[in-house]
Amino acid sequence: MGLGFGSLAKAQNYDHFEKKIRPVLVRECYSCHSQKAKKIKGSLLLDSKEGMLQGGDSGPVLVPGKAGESLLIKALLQKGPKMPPKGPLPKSVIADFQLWIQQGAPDPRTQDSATFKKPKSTSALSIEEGRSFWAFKPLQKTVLPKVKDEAWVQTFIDRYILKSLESKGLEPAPQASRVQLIRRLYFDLIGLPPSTQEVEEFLADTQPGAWERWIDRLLRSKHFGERWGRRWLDVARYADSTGGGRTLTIDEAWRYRDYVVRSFNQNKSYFEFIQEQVAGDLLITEGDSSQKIADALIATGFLLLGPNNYENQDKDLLRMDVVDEQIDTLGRATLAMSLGCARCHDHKFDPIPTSDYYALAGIFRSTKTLTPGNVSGFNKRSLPLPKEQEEKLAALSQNLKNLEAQFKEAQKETKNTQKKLQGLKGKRDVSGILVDDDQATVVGNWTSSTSVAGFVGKRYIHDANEAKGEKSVTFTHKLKEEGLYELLLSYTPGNNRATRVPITIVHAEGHKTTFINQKKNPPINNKYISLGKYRFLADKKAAVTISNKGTSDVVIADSIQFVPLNQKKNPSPKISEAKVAQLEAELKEFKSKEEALKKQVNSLKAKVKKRPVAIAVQDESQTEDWHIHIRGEIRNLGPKVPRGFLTVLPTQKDPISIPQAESGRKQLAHWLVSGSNPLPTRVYVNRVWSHLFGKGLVRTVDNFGVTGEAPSHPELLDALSRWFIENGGSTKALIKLLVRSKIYALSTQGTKIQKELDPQNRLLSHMNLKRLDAEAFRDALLSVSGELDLTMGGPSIDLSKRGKGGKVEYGYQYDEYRRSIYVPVFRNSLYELFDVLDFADPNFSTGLRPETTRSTQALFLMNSPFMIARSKKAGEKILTNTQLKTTEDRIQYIFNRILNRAPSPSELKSIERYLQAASASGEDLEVWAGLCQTLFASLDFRFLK
Amino acid sequence: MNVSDFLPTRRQMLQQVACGFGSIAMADLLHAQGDKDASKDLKVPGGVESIVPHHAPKAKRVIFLFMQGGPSHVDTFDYKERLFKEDKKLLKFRVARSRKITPEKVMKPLWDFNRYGETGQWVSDLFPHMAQHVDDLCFIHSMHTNGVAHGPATLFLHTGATNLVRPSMGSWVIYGLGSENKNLPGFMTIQPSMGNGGPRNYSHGFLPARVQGTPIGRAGQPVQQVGINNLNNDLIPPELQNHQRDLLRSLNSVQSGSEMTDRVEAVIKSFELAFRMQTHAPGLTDLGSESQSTLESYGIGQKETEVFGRQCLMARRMAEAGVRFIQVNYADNGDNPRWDQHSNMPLHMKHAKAVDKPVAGLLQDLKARGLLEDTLVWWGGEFGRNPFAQNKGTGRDHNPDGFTIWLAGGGVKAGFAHGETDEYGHTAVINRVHMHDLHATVLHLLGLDHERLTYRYAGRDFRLTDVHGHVVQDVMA
Repeated sequence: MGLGFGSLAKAQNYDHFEKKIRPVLVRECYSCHSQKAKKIKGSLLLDSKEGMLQGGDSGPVLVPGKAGESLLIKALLQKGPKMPPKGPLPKSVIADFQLWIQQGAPDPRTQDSATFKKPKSTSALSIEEGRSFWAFKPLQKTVLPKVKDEAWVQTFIDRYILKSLESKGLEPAPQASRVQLIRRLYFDLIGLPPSTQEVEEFLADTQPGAWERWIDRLLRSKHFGERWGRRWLDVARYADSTGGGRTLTIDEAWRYRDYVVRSFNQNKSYFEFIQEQVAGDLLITEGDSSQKIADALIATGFLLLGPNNYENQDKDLLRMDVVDEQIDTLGRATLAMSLGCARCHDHKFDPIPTSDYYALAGIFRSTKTLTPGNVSGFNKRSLPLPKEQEEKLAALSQNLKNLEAQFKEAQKETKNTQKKLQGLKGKRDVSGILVDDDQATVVGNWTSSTSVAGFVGKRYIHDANEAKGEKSVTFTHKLKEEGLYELLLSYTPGNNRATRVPITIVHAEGHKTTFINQKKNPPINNKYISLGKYRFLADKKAAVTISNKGTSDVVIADSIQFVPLNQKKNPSPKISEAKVAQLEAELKEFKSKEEALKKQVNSLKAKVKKRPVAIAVQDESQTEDWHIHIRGEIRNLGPKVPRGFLTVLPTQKDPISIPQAESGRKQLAHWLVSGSNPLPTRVYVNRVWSHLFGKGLVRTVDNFGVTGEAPSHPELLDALSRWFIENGGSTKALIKLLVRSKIYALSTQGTKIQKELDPQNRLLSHMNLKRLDAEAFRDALLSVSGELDLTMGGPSIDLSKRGKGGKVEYGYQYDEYRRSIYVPVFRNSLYELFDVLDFADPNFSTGLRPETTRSTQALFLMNSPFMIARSKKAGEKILTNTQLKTTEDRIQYIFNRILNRAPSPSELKSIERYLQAASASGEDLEVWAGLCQTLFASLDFRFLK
Repeated sequence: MNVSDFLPTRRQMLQQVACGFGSIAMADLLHAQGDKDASKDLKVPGGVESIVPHHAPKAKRVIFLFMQGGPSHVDTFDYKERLFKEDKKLLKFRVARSRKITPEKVMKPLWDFNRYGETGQWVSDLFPHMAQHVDDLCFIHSMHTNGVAHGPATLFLHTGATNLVRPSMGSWVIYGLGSENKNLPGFMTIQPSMGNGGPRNYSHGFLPARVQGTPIGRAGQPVQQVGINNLNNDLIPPELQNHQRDLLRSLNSVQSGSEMTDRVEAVIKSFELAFRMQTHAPGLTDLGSESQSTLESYGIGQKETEVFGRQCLMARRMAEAGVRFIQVNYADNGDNPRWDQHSNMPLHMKHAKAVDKPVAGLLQDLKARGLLEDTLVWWGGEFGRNPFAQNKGTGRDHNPDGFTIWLAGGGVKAGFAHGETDEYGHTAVINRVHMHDLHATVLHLLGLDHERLTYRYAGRDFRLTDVHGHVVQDVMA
């Protein structure tokens, strides 16, 4: 190709660019995609050739010569990213761009490629930098610090704290009073106040080791799991409904809640606990007890409890949103890292590249969470039962199978018999001339009856087994046509009937007496017996007489029929009445058998159905690595990344690899608890610390990243972490260690110098003042009012208590008396008391609840029907207690109940003043209830000193 | 209206009230929260900064008239001649729900259109009263949004996200500006729906709880009974409650003793604020002092307009009292709410009758009291409806790809229309305005830059508009 030609062509083409392309780029695009833009969007520059070729976050925007493949054209045509955002350009302009690219996209705006810099999108730590960041470093070995006041030290924790206080020239606060301590310990460990008796008992226990004994006593309480389990439920963003637009109830969520309570009460190792929640289903081994297997399955409910909008119609997006929520929650809960940030781009601050995020996404995409539907559902799995129950269930199932087979057989038999019978009956035609008993001539006293069914007409009559030989019934009839008739006689059979009833027939040829046995079933239609065929004349009366002469037992007279035989229209029935009777008897039997079987089947079915089901995940049938989604857009796929974990954290000697055919959750669970991964232990130990001391050693308990806070006592955090690992991840042991320490027992009262030198009390010179959370507040209230129901566990939602219009979440009638952990947690509309008193937002994993102070809280305490009702109950308890003789008795009593202490003189004065003033404006009960309500609102009830 | 009107009051308030609604709660300020992220913005003076507008505001407050269920734009304000001409014709449309292009039966509007006012804007016969105010309205005919179903779209309208849990726009506004009245919450929503996200639509999300919307009753309650929850009770004689208050004051002063910390002080002050609210707040919902002619202008006293009329009048009283973000809900609690006429378009008439006169009454009243100039009124639903029949029947399905809302007052052009849908009214094509853009624009009018109104949560700076949103300059007066 000649040079001249080339440059000529270029010159021509630049012409097109300069006239048609550049002005449009400047006008429509540069404000966001040029070096001069206030903010460069999508890391894309369109003000140079290099910028266009290199592209932005979504890759190159043009392929010279191929307009159809160029992202720029797709964007202009509003396919994929729609550009410009204000609306499409005229078609002719788009055609100009297409032409330009077809011609090779000649562009004079070249830049020195050395000076061209792709805009950098992140300022995060690199992986290498991250490895020396405190949170990601391996647990450090520390030397026990030496302190001046050795005698003060109770546990090794005290050394670290005292050391830092001494180095600042601070002294620890004095111990809290024993009354304050026992109240503190009860609320911290079981979330309930001590009773007045328990306080007295503790105060009387002055033997050495008393404090430890009381710690152990509370750690053994079944209410321990309710208190500490609820704290984990905050982290697990536990809820009983999905939230979102058309919120769904998660009916089986309570099983997860109970599993958590159980795990804390059993003192399950924390490491086992988190492994179960990520991959319990994959960690089941042969010989595991049924309870263990059930718990392992239920535990994975952790991954399913997220707030997702299941009605979202874009199911691809929903799937990725669910995965995102799982990654984010897992990251916050176990690692205190905000991994969700890396969905759209590398983490802006922490050393977490997008590829790490999609390595985890591959694991969760390979895990089945959703079930398909217009409104999607949760994956569910059946739970095993204890061995004997399982065997019982197996036997029941086998029984059921057998019974079902029998039932089917019976059904078939019934059907066949019915068919046969119908066929037979169809052939028969009993329609003669009827003479009923009420038309007959009766001699003697005959009794009318209907007690045995099967009679003709309205009744039958009998001789009452009396006056034998004196009674008779004669049926007469004047036939219109002479001829041969079959004579049928009906009667109702029975065991008390006569066996030889004489019947005399007067016919054309004379008369005949025959005998019938009325004990037997009448053979025809269960009604008639044939007396034989006789000729009768017209105009001459035919007569049939039933007599009781010579009979023992009851004689029945019901009706007779003359069935004409000599007319062609009425052919004699050619069926065996015996056969019909037999079939009918059989049918009856089959039917009752069928019915009995059906009952058995149904009751068995109900029993077999009782096998419990939990929301739980399982591996997808297809497990695979997944793509990076460029800018987090679900239909903008980048390269695939192999499934894996966070690169920044130290790896084991043998890196964990994920086999193709597995999701990788099992490996993820192992990675979380592997000795080389320091984060989960640091994070958990810090969580426990923060619950007991009001603040964590790292106060940002859910954020151990760069934007979080460094620990106040890093050596202590690591020493505690190592101690925790050495003690097998025992939460109870850790709590005991912490509450046994000297610093736990410090007064909340800081001195002036403490506040001056350490205003935020990071050195823990005194105890932080802790406010009762929503649950402790409510449970304490119910406990004082005497209404608390301590029943444990079971389903959360009672469908009979749902609000108007059948909606569960709105207008739900909450159970007012059970412990707060059993109150259903609805994502869109929280229980009012929870909402007002800073309950954890169930939409986010929450390690430390924000504490707000709002007038809505004051209004709730002053005016809510709940507060008023509890106060009234507490007031009744005062007034009905006959042991309280004086007003002061009553005041002392209620102070001890509500605040676990006696009133101070000035409090006493205030109360006396109140009682005096209030008694003028209210009934006795109102006044005392009003006092209780005010004490519930007072600082010493709401804060733990 | 200028910035200097704003600043002193706000700063004074911070000094005066420790935990008034208008200020950053003292507890937030001084109690180091668990999440340093969250407290970062709140440290003095950082916390004060967020209370100062980013630029001179055009509006001091917003009244959002939420038309739940999605009113049909092609039957109300977006006049399309072709729909009349091509009624019943089978044409291909890209259907939002199925995301497929399918033949659909064009359905003409059920009501006639006329031009009104000096600006000659189109309004159908559904809104004869609103039609009298078109010269005050600023229509946006080119709206589009996210979410095809009510739940996601309603959440998107209120929070800017269909699925992820995010703060409501009202909460963002209070987070940015605080309340004008120290005795009242800054964000109120009158009779909100319990459906389609329910309280999440006025929730603070991860923002501090003080910016939570305060519901005034809920949808379906008798309108005469609505009020702030727990504001009063009828179980304790008022006099006795006064004695309780005195006792609480003296107990708390004894119990706080020498340990009086800022947290404890905040608790004590929260009660003082509650006592003041008991005095001030009931007036918001009590219409007893309104003149007969005012009541009549809102349609109060007429059966069809009684409920929405009362709601609109409460909104005006709140605006006067300095409530900054007021939402009036024409809503119920159903999954197929109010304007959701999938199979029976004529029902639109019932809903139009219920809101038309009250809305016109509100506009007129605001104007007469000089409130319209610094109050931004916003009328609209979560999406519009299709110009074709659903399942070829007599209703219309949801349409998030093109619909109309209108703004009035507070700094927007009066008698103006921005943007267009295509010739059938199906998709916004000219000067498209995404819901993110509308959010950015509303914040802008209030003096807030949507890109700078951020909150750091869990290691990330969040915005109402996520990473999107462009202020629609064209509608600015």
